[in-house]
Amino acid sequence: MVRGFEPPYAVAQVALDEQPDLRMIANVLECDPSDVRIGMPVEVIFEDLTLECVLPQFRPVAE
Amino acid sequence: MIAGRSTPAGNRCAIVGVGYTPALRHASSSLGAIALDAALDALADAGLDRSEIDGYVGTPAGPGGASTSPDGVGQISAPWIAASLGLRDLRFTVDIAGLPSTSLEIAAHALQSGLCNYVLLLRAMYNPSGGAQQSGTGPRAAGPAQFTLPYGLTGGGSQFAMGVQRYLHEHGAKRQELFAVVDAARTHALLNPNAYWYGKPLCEEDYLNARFIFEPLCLLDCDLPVTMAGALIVTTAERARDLPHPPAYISGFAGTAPGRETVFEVSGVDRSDIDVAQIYDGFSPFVWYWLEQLGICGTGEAHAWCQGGRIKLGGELPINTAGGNLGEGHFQGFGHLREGVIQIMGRGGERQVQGAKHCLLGIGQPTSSRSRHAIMLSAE
Repeated sequence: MVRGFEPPYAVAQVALDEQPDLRMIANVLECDPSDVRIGMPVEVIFEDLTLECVLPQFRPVAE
Repeated sequence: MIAGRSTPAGNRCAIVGVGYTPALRHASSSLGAIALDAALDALADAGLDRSEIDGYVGTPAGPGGASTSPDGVGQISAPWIAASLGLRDLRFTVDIAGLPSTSLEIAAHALQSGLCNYVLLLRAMYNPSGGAQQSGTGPRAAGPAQFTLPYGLTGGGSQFAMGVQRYLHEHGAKRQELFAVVDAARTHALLNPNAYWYGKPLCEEDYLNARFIFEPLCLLDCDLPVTMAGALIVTTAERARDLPHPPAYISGFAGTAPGRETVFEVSGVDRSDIDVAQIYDGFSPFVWYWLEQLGICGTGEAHAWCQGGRIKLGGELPINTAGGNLGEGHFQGFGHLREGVIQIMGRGGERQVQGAKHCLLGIGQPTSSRSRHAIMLSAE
């Protein structure tokens, strides 16, 4: 088990500025999941799950 | 997948008998036992003796996979059915892992090529007790799952929920509008004693208060795994005329790829001539997607189009008149196929669409890149 999932959590498809047709699945962290909206700008962060497993994740940024 | 006039369309094949068992959450008897019940019912319904069955198209296991169960218990192979049913004269036998529409297509091809005269088409779903059919958790994620599983995107409803969110966003739709689809299914299920939700009405308030599985999809937007079996007898149009029931002719069969002939072109049945439709509804928004892909309404319009009782019995286009997956139980689209036959034969009882001549079927996941089929069943 990578980790447990305690709802609510937000799963998003993120389009990258650098390559908009490359879509990444990730969680949107550091905000209330119910505040996540389609089109909201986010930035990448890296979440250390274990010593060997680091996940790219996203958090909101000001527009 | 084949689409065009080379398919078994043009009323050359017909379904002439149906048999099925009630949708149960879990069965106390083996899958083989209920499958035999369905097969024997279908034979009796078609007025045929088992010695006349010379073709068989089966599906040994459902999507839950029953590979650890012995043959005849949690899965049913063609040899097991042939031996148990005493089918000694099979000239064409195939087991597939695929859609019921694919089974029908194979049966029709076998009949038209003269390999056999009467095909028994059998489907059975087994929902083992003590566990979900699918699970997305585990210590490792490999292949495509490595990009989704670590983020809690575990398959099933979750993979569709994101697309629904996008649909709502793009088309100004509301999650509440999905109730029209669920309401039609559950209202129709009240007229189908075979349905899991028979006798259990659902009001809008209870729907809206049901817990989310993956927002915007709630528990009642998802179909319910059940154990059930169903059988059809398929034969040529010439032979169909001599049997007890009015035949349900396969008047059109098509894939849904853009640019290919549509089921309307293949069958010569116009959209305005459809009396009733059976649309695969493993998740409620599938009905929206199918209606738009079939051109019943425009892109982004289905959420509004389904409102106001339009898809309920008595409405402009009754959909899933036996309840569909959402009302009857998860049967991979076999329930839709069987109900299409029932409607065209005029045997729907309280849920019969009076004078139904053409039934449109949409079988398979409308968002899937895998095969899905549009079929027309007609009374003449």
